[in-house]
Amino acid sequence: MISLVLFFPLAIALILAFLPKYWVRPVALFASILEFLFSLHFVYHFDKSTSALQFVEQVAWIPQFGISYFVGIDGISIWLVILSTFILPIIILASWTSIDDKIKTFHISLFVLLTAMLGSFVAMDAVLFYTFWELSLIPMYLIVGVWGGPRRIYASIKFFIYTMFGSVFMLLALISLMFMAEQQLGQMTSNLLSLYQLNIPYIEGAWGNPQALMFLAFALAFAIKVPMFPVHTWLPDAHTEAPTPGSVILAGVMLKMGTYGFLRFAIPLFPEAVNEFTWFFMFLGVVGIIYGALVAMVQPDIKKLVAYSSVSHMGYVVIGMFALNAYGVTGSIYQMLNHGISTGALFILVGMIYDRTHTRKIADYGGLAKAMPIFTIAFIIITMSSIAVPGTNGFIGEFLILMGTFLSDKAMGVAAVVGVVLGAAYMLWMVKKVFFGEAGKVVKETKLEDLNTRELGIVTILIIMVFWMGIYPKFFLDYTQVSVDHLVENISSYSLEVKVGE
Amino acid sequence: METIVGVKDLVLGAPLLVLFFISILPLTIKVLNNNKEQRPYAVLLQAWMGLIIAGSLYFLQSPDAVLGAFDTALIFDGVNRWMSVFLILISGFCLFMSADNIQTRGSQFSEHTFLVLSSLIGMLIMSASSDLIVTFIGLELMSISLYVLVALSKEQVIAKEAAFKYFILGSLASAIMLYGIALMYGSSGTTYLPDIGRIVSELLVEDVIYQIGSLLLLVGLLFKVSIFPFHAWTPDVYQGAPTPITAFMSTGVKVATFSFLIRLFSQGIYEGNDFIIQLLQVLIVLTILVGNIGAIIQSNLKRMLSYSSIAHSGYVLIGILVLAVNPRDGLAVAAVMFYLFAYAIVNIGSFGIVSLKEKDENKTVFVNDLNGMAKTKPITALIFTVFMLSLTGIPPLIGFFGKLYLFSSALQYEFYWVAMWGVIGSVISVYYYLRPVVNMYMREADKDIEFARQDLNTIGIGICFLLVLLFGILSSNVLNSIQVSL
Repeated sequence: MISLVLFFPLAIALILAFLPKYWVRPVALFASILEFLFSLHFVYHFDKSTSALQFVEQVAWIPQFGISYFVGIDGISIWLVILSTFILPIIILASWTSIDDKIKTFHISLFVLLTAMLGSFVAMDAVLFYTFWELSLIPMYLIVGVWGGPRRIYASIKFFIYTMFGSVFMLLALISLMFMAEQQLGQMTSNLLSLYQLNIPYIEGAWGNPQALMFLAFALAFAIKVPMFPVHTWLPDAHTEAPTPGSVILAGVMLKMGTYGFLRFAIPLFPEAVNEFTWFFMFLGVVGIIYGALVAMVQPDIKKLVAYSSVSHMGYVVIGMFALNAYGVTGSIYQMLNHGISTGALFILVGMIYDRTHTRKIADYGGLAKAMPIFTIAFIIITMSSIAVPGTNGFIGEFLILMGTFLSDKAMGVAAVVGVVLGAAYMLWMVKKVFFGEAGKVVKETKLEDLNTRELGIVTILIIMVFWMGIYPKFFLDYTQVSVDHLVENISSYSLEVKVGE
Repeated sequence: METIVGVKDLVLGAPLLVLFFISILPLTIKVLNNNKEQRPYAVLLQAWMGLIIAGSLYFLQSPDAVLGAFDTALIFDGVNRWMSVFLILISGFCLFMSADNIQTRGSQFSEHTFLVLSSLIGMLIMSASSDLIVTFIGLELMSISLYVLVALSKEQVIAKEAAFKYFILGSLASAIMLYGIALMYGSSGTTYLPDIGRIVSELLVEDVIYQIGSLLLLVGLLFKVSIFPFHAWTPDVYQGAPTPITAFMSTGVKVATFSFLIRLFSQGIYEGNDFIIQLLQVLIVLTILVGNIGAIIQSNLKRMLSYSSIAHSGYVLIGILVLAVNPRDGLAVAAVMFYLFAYAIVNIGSFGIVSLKEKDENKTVFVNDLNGMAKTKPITALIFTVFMLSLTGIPPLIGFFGKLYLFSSALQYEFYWVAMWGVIGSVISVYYYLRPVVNMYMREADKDIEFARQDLNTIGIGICFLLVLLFGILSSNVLNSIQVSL
């Protein structure tokens, strides 16, 4: 079943290449909804009582190196898989009118990208993971570079080189791990379950400390993807230049590949090194939260503001993870989903208004609430979710993360709470300037139409998710709980099994 | 040493003999026909006939035998069989390209084909040789044919300059190499590699003459694969040569020379020679950096690809470095061969696409000439993108697995710094490999892009494209069949 969900988008991408232009959008939309329904199979048949891998499929791929096509889903990855397939139809709908150039290439890129992202969430073989991880760069690069804004070429190359720079060191560490497996387990392998069993030498204080170096190599790759301060500088460029669907998929799913990588690889593989560096990553996370919020505060451009808020929000995910207790990790997984929904929604909303006015300058707006009441309501609800008002999804995630952080490190917790306040400040400030007060330049000059049915549909789905996740989080948390407990309890000797009977 | 040529030698040497006779066939026909040129496709047909016969003769040899001919001066083993078939394929594709390209299909196509085939014979000799003198003959046969091939171009200025540069520098390198061989002979008393390998451990400690000799031999070979600091000729010559010949040089010469380097190093000539090991590490890192950084500033597509080929030589040399530590490492040999395979098909394909754009002989193709190609020629743009990404080493394309195997063998012997600079080089290379992609997809065309009609070349590009996709995902099968045959 995983293989079907994984390669169905690739097949669709191939089919789209041969379709006439006017068929591309309907077929893509239909296929993406079908893909989402396929992926719901995992939700229905998921066994919540075990931390073991489910829906496993394994085929030898490069036997000389012990590399295999090995995929599976557990509590950590299941919602990320669903999030990816959920976002795609929304993106296709959201780009229905805003992308009108080379739509075939665009939709092909989207579907290839979906395969790559799903692949990195379900891959249980490190080299397979790397393959999907790198593969995801190409379609994203094209989406930003072809359909982006004026500085799109600069932004897309910057995105590509940054991510590539991080991941090549991960590749080297990975190969070293495989040789270590040869020494300790008798054969080379990149099977993640075997790699978890390795005893990677940790030499305290030594410069050539193998475990610490490998951990840093992995962490660099993931930190760039997340992105964490101070390697975040590609993100604002990429977000600002990307077309709306590109921003949505970038914020919605691709950034999660980094945080997921921490949870799946960096933390369980290198326990001693994690112990050593926890404070460092929490510190960077907190710096990211506050720095992102402060920079967002002074942005004159709505989209750039949302992009920096992304840096800030991903900081929460990082500190939650490195709190290394059940609250923190659960909260951080939940926050990944929240961020996907609410920041994705913010980008979509910004895109909708940009399509009408062709400006994103906050100063050009003002008094939008009168001209577009429905849009305003939607925007404010999503803003509430983004600043974590109780009742919305953001509250649950941030609350859990802050609880976990206080349990493990009080000082960091206090600093993170400051970030919450700042977050509320810049978002509400922006809302006030854009929607209320005196009517601004564009509001006066252009005739603004409120949301049409298609846009309303997109927004409604997202708002339903916001409240569902905010009011009844148990439904989602039940799936992740056992896996998370298993992770935090066995952090120093993590192991994962394949579910019996598969 | 008394050498009698027997039937066995002729049978084993048959591919070379067949190629030799076929190569003079077009020339003979031309002379008999009052010096009137045949049609290019007729010449091509004859050449391909020879290639097919020669290639199948290699397949007739039993797959895991190690056979020696001419008093074992030529050794036909697994490595050689793979490399030979591979060289034959390379020549075949390049002939496709030259039968179509305006610069080469003109008045002297018979001579052109003759030279390509005799260069191929030189390469095959080099790849099979286990005697330094025979190697030298092979190397010269290969190089001299190439000097003329570069000069044969109908373009008058850069091609002539390139040929002259290549000739002068190439001769100098050959002389240095010959001097090295002489020194090695002087101190060891033989030019036969297995014999030298047997006594090398004694020679190493005592004999300065031998050490200098073996170093000079290496210099000559590294010149041919354009390793820093012997790379300076590469961009000029690759740019000046007709594109099909550039494709031929950048792949064939490298495959042949690296094939001989594998033989040299696996005979243990440099085993445990710390100086050489140190030197190779430095050269690898510098070659990768010089190649990649040099390519960044190029606006001429052929020049960019030639700098990139310098960098790729550096990567392949990593495998040779591993062989210097452990001459019997089968994985390193297989990794080198796989990387060469990956590099060669992509390079032939890329130069094929460059050749598609050449409509008259004095036109150079710039990176900017690709602007907006995704709109007018979507399939070609896609193929070229895949080639560039494969050269960068993006999975799941074939180039990634080549790099994976090479870096694996480097890390196995704990050459961490080499591997690290290697991957940093890959990151640098992203910038210039993506430039054509940027131009094709993200910029608008200032003028219409027209292709010359080149059917055979197009077929060649298509085959290369399929190989890149297929053998990327199935890389383990290829690697396995190479390893089994070693």
